[in-house]
Amino acid sequence: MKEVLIQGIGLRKYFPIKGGISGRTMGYVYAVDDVNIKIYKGETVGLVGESGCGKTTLGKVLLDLIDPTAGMLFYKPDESLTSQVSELYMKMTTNKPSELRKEERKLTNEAKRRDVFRNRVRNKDFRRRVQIVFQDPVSSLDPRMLVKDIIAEPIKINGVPTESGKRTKLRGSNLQNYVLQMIGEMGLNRDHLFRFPHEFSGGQRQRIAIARAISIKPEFIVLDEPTSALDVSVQAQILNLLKELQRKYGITYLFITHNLAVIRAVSDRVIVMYLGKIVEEARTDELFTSPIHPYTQALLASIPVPDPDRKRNRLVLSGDVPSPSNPPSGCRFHTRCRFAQEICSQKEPVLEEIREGHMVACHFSKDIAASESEINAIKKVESAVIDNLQDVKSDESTRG
Amino acid sequence: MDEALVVRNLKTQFFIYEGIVKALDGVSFTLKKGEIFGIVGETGCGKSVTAYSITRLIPDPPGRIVEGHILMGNLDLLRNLSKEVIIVTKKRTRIRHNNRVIKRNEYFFNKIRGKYISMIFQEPMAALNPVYTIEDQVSETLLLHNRTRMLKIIKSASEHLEELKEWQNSGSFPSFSGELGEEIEKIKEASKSKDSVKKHQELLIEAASKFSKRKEKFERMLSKSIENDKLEDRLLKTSDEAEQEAIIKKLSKETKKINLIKITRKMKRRSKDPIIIEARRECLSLLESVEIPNPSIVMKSFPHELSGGMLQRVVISIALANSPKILIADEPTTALDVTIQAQILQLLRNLQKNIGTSIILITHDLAVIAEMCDRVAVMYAGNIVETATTSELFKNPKHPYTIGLLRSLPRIDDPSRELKTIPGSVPNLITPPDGCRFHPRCPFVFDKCKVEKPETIEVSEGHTVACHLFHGKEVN
Amino acid sequence: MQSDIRDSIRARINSFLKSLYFLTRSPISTAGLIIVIAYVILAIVGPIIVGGNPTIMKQYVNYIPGVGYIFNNPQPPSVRFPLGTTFEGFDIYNGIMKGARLDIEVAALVVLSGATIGVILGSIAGFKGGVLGDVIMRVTDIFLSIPFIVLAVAFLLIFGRTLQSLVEALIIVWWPLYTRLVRGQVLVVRELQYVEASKAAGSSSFRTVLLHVIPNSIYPIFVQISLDFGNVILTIASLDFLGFGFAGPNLAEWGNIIGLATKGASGVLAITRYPWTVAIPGLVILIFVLGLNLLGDGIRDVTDPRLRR
Repeated sequence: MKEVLIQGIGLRKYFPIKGGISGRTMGYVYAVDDVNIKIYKGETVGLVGESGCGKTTLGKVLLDLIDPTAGMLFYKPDESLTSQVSELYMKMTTNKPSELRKEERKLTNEAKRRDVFRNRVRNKDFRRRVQIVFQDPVSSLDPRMLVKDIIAEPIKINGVPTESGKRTKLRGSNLQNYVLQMIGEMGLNRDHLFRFPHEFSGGQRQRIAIARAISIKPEFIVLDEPTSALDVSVQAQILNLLKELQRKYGITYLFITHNLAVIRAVSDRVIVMYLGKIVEEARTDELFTSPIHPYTQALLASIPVPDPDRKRNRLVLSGDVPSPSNPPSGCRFHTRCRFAQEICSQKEPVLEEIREGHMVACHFSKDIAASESEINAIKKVESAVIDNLQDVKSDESTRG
Repeated sequence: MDEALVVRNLKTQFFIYEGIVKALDGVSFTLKKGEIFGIVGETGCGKSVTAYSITRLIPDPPGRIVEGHILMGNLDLLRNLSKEVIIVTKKRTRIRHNNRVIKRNEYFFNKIRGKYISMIFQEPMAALNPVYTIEDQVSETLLLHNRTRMLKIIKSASEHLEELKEWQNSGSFPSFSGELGEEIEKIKEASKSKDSVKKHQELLIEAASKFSKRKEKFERMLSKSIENDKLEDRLLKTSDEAEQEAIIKKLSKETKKINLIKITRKMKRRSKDPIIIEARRECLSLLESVEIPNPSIVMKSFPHELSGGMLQRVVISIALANSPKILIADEPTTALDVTIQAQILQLLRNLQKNIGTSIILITHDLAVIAEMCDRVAVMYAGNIVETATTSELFKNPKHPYTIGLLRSLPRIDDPSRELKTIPGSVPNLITPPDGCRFHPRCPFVFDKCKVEKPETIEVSEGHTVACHLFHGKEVN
Repeated sequence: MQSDIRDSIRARINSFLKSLYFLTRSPISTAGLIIVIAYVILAIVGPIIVGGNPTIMKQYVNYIPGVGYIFNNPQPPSVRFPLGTTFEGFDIYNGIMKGARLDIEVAALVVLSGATIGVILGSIAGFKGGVLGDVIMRVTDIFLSIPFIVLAVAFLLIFGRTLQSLVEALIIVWWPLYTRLVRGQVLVVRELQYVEASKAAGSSSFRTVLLHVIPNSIYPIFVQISLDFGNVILTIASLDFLGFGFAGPNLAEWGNIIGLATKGASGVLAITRYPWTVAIPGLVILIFVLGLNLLGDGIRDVTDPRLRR
């Protein structure tokens, strides 16, 4: 049985929209809306979705870099506690922050003590075990600091875990040797330590950022679009490096990206988000061969493949993504979904396990799954779309 | 002639403090009429520089096209290049500009850009002016380049005023010949709602009546416009350099005049000028042609009120407003979500079929190339290393860089999860490697590669490579 | 290890030299740099060259028995008095040579104190924000809305016309500008990812501000400092000229030299009959302030992040 490393329950992050001279809160951007996530030790979880879906916010909430509006975060929790807490959060149906706070008072003290968000001691300990690598290699490194200081900074603050489990703060030559060793693993050498970030290329800067993240030997790293700003060949180098490091140090990754091809290459499990909610979750191969949620299917069908013989009709999803400050009622995807029925605009679907390890949040997930069990979903979608388009065209000509 | 654009031996350099960046080292390719030609490469390979060189948007200083020919029809866009600057020293950055020649070329290029060669960029938000409405910005390009057609339409409309009014009352589409007829056809096909048809009618009638009020003035304008058009046509067809020179001189004078008039005209928003009214009407049909919902509302909006996908559609409509012969699209969908990307690329394909523009599509995304392009050129460090039809390139890549690039792509249809990399990194273009610029990273390198730059060789029909590994007929 | 420290220092020195190189690319900012360096040297060696009390100008008096001390009228520049003399017999050359030091010292004290206060308050206001930030900014606004000469004069009148109170008055006048500048930069910098990365590494807010935010927010300060040097000197000179001078008339300070001219005779008379009494010290101040401004411009160009260096 795999060990759960990190578990988030009922996570919500609403950004207030202030308006007018008085600066009162006019509304919220529902960036992350009631997300339950479990991350197992040693795996790479891919978190995918388009811009505005909340994946970056979720990543930062999981590191407590952003204060959540509601929810709890546990490190190596025990199951009895988490199931209790999950039940409580499932009952919460409001989305007003003040009411959420009221509901959260019902939580047991035991739970509050274990929660990383609320317990300061646990929080401090937790932060030493987790790290983040950002997307933009340009702005994620302090331009006024030498590379060696950039990498050494987390070590100076947190110390490095040793064999015995304690932490030592390295100093002087010990520190220098350690940093040198770290940078060697990234494929850089001593000279590079005494330069400034702007003297390096994008790929090298990401290596420095990774060295900084790895330096305190964290157990969990959130990678927020780490290769999106890089060229394809450099991307391949960085991804291979990350895999190597995972193998060596047993790190767990949360890999956030909008690039599905990269997700397929690196992840064990994939979580798909749309407008602040998780819509589907499955093992990687399963997701790519048999996606169930209509959004996932559409997403997969709209990715271009570098193969000129597969000229597909990619136009599967019409319209723009709705605004996260004013999400559609019921199922958030219903405005663009080809299966939408009346119930979809009224009731929000719950994430259910359809197959083993495969969760979907859709009212018709079982129907979709049954009809696609043997057929390649993507092909099906394409022909459905062509039918759809023809319907739409005939509709149009009958109108004025 | 079925070539829309021929680029030969284009060399662009940037003269900066650290030295001279040899960004383009003799780029040559051909764009055929009606095709979508892709240029693919990574950061720093020079694909954007190529695009900017063709439209002469390279900032000077520090950049400069130092050599090359860009042929559109019989006209070399880089004629007089040597007269523009004198590069005084080779090592340092001293250049003396011949301002008179440069200025004249500028005027001339202002005519070319937007009318014959259009460009769309990566960031749609940055391409539009935040303080002007969409309507203003789309009309701008029409007013600059499309006067003849618009005037003809208005003139026609004023002659058929009765029938137009009839149309307004009854709702049945009249049919005419000439430009007005084309417009009516377009409206019939594209208009999605009764409201927009009404708007078209209103604006046509308004423009027509304003035209009749000052008939002589506009008639004069029309004939002048037609004359200019004839000159431009001649310019592209003739191969006599002296004649080209004379026409350009004339046209530059015209452009200078029009700019001033245009600015003052634009100031009067509720203008009584029929051309502006007609421009607004065409803006409406342009927005419809790029499938923007509620075009009449979008027209009056400002860029910040629209999403990225919508903005890129607007940008495309501006670029194609004058049915240019060539469209250069520089990473048009990189900044957009993948589902929106699909829509935009689909749109480009459809429009291209309708208008017949030849497109140069620049991207780093091989998947987009596979989907959109007929032929592809792969660039590395300022050189085109391989050119072929798309399927040939993917099935039979020849150049080691192309092969490496294809192998390092993660694929959603491939469960193997292994990524092969190209060792090393992109070279510094101030001190590029000798011989073949790819040789330090090439797994097949041998001695000749380190000293001699490979020529471009044809290895099979339509498939050229620049690599010493291959033998064949030399091209250009 | 020793070599590590050496290498770090070497890297930083190289970075500085590169900036200096860029500064000298433009002939205008190089001129500014040269002028400023020249004046600094003047401040150091000037008093030594002319000798005598470094803070008091040399005075030439005639003693007439039965009448007392009288001063000659101002003498134009000659061999004996290279820059001439002014009212009450003061040797202008002597005054100029000694005056640099005082002015530069005072300006440095005022500007650097103001900048320090500004950085501290600006960082707090920018980074933490909230009510405290608002309060700081409103106080800053109030101070900025009072014309600084009026504020300085008021201060001097209340606390006495000494050098000490002059310095204090000027610091009070100058700190708000820096606060506003720094706050603006901090607002930008705190959104950058390396600040977030530092927070993710577990750095406390204080540490983040000190090591990451402030070093990246002080670029506009350098420009302002070089400009303000000139402004402070002008202000001191103006105060002197207006008659709000401090200490005795024999203080070796450039503004004071001009002030003597306006006291000794009415301004117009001084300029028409004895132009060198006003023009020479005025020119000296002008060139220095010009040099500072050119240097400031040069620094601004060099530190502009938009220009790729």
